[in-house]
Amino acid sequence: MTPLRITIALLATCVYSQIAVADADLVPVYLDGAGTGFNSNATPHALSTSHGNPGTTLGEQRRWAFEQALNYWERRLDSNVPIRVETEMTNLDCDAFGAVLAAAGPNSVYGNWSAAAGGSAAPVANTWYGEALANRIRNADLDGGSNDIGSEFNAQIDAGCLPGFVWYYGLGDAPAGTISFHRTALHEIAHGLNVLTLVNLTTGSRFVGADDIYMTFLHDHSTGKNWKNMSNAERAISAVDSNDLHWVGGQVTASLGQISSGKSGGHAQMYAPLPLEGGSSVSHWDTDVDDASGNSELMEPAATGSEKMLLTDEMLHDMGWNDVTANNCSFASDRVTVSTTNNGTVNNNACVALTYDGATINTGTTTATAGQYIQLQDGFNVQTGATFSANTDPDIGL
Amino acid sequence: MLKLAISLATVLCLLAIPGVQAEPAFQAPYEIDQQTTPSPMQPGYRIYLDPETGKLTSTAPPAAAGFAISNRTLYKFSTSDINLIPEIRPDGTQRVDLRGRFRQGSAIVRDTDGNTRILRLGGDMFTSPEGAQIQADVTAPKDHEPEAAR
Repeated sequence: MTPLRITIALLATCVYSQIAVADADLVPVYLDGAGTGFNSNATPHALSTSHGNPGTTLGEQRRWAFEQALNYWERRLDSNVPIRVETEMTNLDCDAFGAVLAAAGPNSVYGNWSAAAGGSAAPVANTWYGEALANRIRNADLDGGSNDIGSEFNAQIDAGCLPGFVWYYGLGDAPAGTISFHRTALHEIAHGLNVLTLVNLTTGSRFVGADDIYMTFLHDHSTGKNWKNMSNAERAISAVDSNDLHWVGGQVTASLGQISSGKSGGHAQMYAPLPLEGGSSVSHWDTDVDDASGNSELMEPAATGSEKMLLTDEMLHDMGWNDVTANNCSFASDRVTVSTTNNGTVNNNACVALTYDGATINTGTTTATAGQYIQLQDGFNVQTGATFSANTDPDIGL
Repeated sequence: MLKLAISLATVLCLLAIPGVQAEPAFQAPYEIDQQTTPSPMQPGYRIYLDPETGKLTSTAPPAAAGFAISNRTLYKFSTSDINLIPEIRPDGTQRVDLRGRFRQGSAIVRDTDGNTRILRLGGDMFTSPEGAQIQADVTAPKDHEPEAAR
């Protein structure tokens, strides 16, 4: 990551109230043994090094790329309970015609939990939530610090099991002949954060006889029914009801301006092709969900190489994750206009770490709608005319 | 199996405590499909990239390339809840250890022309188009093979 120096010209002085805002803490738990996988001491990939990965061994490069993906989600979600994400490099299926790249998901699901201090009981009764999400809502760990999300990545890719391809551990678009480890991790971790239904899409039956929180936001426009009010047979039919299956959560619905296609009837479309594509159907956005520039959503059934975070963060908010900036000032004067002084530009939705006198005072995202700006941390009193520096990671491009 | 045993033991212990009764999951009729029974998964399963649709399929289209999927992979992506037993705690909290199932994944697939795509994997893809429900093996797969030290 090459720091992009920018200066910030202040629009206004604003004193903020002290409101705690806690980025989620996604903690990597590496399961590989010494000298293997994420701990490999092998020579780092030169291509990833040249694209900014600072790791001095292959294992360090893998850990850096994985933790960049964790950091991405940390900056967007709020939780006082650490989210433990276990991961390892394993020998997943691979031959000359294809390879399983990675797999991830919640390790456990919870329902009907009681409230803890500062948190809430299960918001919807008799409904399953992924472990990390349940902990966030309860504001306390339901399982004594066990690992919340399981993930694994194919170690054989770097061993040449799929001729012509290796992992790429840098950020941004993967160069020819490589597969982006970072982008893959971003996608799979989102599933672990609860971007999935537990419904058996072939039979329509619910997981252990009860709703899961994801399916409660699914609505079929052709029948006018929500999935929670459908029979098993109706759900199975809805899962292949192309263009009629939608997400009806309020946060997503309020953010439909982010997309220019893949929406109808005031809702965003979910992927529901006929015949069923079990690996993709329902637990991904429809392939028509694009922004005005033609970028697709990160959580779509196929990687297009131009993915953006368009709606998934709002989907997560619908299910119970808080926006990390939800309690910040929302009026214009809490924003500062940024202008680049030398190289490059700050992309829309680029992540920014704002520093003042060498200390990080805030992280946030940029937006291009009204000039480049980020929000300042609550409680920070800025002085008119002050100059800041900011490190950005525009290469992420999401 | 150890976690399953612990879960069952927890429920039995709760039943043994006066005044504490284990309740059925979510007070609702257990909806596990009684028509399904655990069955071994078929080894050597292959998935294919359909050159016409660009989508993954379990049925080999003409002249399509396919790569083999192992039992271990099928298990990870299984969406079967068979033998996933809810643990019910004294305060009413219910928990199910997914035992490594219900994973979502990504795959890279190369077609016969050498073009590649990155697509998604998930449990029910292995049941189409036959519509039959592939059941999770009742026994968790053996531990993964560790990556050779490199």
